[in-house]
Amino acid sequence: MRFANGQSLIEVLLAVAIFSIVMGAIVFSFIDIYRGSFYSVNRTDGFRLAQEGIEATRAIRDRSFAELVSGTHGIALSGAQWSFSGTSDTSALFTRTIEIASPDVDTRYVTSTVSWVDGGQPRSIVLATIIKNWEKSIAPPSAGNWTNPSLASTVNLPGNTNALSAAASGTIGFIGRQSSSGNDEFYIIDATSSTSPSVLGYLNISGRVYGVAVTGTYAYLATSGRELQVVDVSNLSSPSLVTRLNLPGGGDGRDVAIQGNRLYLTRRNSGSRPVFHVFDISNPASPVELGSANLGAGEYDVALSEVGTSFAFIASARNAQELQAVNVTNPVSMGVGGSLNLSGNANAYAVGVSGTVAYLGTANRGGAGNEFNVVNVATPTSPTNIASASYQSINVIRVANGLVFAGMDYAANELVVFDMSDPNTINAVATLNLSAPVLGLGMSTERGFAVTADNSNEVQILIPAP
Amino acid sequence: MKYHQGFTLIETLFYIMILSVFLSISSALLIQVLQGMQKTDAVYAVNEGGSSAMTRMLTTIRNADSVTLPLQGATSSQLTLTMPGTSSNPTIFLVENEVLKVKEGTAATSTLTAKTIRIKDIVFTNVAATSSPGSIHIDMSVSSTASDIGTGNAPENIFTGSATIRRRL
Repeated sequence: MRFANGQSLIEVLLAVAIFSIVMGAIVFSFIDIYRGSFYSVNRTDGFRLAQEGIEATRAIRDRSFAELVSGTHGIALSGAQWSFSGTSDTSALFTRTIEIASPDVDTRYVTSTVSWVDGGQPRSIVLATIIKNWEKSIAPPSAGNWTNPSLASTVNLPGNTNALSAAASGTIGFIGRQSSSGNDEFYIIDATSSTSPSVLGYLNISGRVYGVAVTGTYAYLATSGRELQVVDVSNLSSPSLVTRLNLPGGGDGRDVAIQGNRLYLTRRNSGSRPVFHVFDISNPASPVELGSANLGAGEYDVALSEVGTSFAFIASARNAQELQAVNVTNPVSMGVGGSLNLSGNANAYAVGVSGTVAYLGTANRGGAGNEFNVVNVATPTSPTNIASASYQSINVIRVANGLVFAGMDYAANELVVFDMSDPNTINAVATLNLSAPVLGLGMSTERGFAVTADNSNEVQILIPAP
Repeated sequence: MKYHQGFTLIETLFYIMILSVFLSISSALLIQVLQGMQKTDAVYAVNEGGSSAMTRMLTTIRNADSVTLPLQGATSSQLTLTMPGTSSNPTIFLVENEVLKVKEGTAATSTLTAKTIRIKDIVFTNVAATSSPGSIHIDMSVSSTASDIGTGNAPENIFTGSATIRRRL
């Protein structure tokens, strides 16, 4: 007799057991996923809190770098601004600490740590950054004491022709010189080391460079032949000619001055042709002429007051008008608006202006003739001579560093420094005996470039007393 | 004569009892698992949607020129930023019908959060110091639109974030 047996209880229980193990595994894996998703939620929240720590530290930096004190901090919003408070701060299950280390006075290493406990497991997120005191105001380098300058070194340019003109920007000098075959007329000199200056770059200009002015990355040269030449000096080691303008008439360019977007050029006399030109240099590479004028004689240096642009002051060869004030408001129709007549027929070579005072230097007027003249130009239409002193032919005057520098032929002292804080009193505070007459001068707060007729020492580097 | 011996009544009742207990347990588990999955999805949507919206706002703040609204020290439910690019200036973040929206320049308003989540509340605080560039603290409360899963309430999360403008004009 056969009996088809049903499943025994044992078998059923076994089947149920196996099934529940399988189900259990599935359920636990879901629980794990669930937990994992919570961890990822906490992680993103924690990350954002840590990031907030960094951002808050940045906001505190923007308020005051001094508040970033080394140590461990919490952050809090107080009075709607972030500030450090305590050694940590908590939000829900998260604890945040900001650690600040100061490797140097203007640097902070910021570490923002957020920690929490997730299902019994300690977790943390750490963000780190470096914050700099980048808005720290840096005092400009001290100008040194220019009332007591000294000769630091000299530079001998190739060939034996005089250097004629100079401009300075920081410790870089831009030098123009007499032309000579086979040699260059425009030099860039690095006098960062005042005792061993070096020639950085040079350019052949094919003409005498009587005047140099530099703005931005361009140098403007007043030259013989083509009167205005523009040189790109963005690469100091290799200046390149951008453009050269040949103006009507044959008068050489004598001097250039720049104020804002305007460039002023003076020239040697050539008949009825213009001797004074005004250019717009808003596009520095291509000056546009705004106007020109014939002022009745050849012109030497030109200078403008730093306080106003309506008048240019020109040292002139015109015997009745050694100083000419030209209203340049409308360059299309310019003429001599005011002038000063010095006795005798000596030409004025040099002019400098500061505020409402002009300094006029002339050729040697012989005997007790006064070559250095202080002129009140508060009313430019009627300049008045308020003080004078006798030197010898003054070739260049620069107003810089709160002082007036005059380069001259005077054999004993080719460079004289005046403190003109009282314009009625000519106060020569320093003199320098250089090896030859000073023909041009470029001044910055750090260096002076005196260019001379000494063919072995064309450029002489001046430094202030410390 | 052969007889197939059937189950006894007792046995049958016993089997049915075991089976029903087992079925009820397993179906309850299954329901739990399914609800758990739904809830995970909802949590994920809240977290992901909230995070990406927050990141978008913080990044935009960092790249802004300045903060127009809220004023320094004040709070607002709308953030107006002055941006460097003309096409995105101004950029406005605001919540409309529980959806976070952004309006860049003259372009039409576009939405930043999906329909699966609701922005229940958003507060922008201008925490910048005087004469400092803008610094904004954001509090945003986000919940899922899946209203009621199982016995629990809709998942929600509070997002906070802060950003300080990098540019200096």
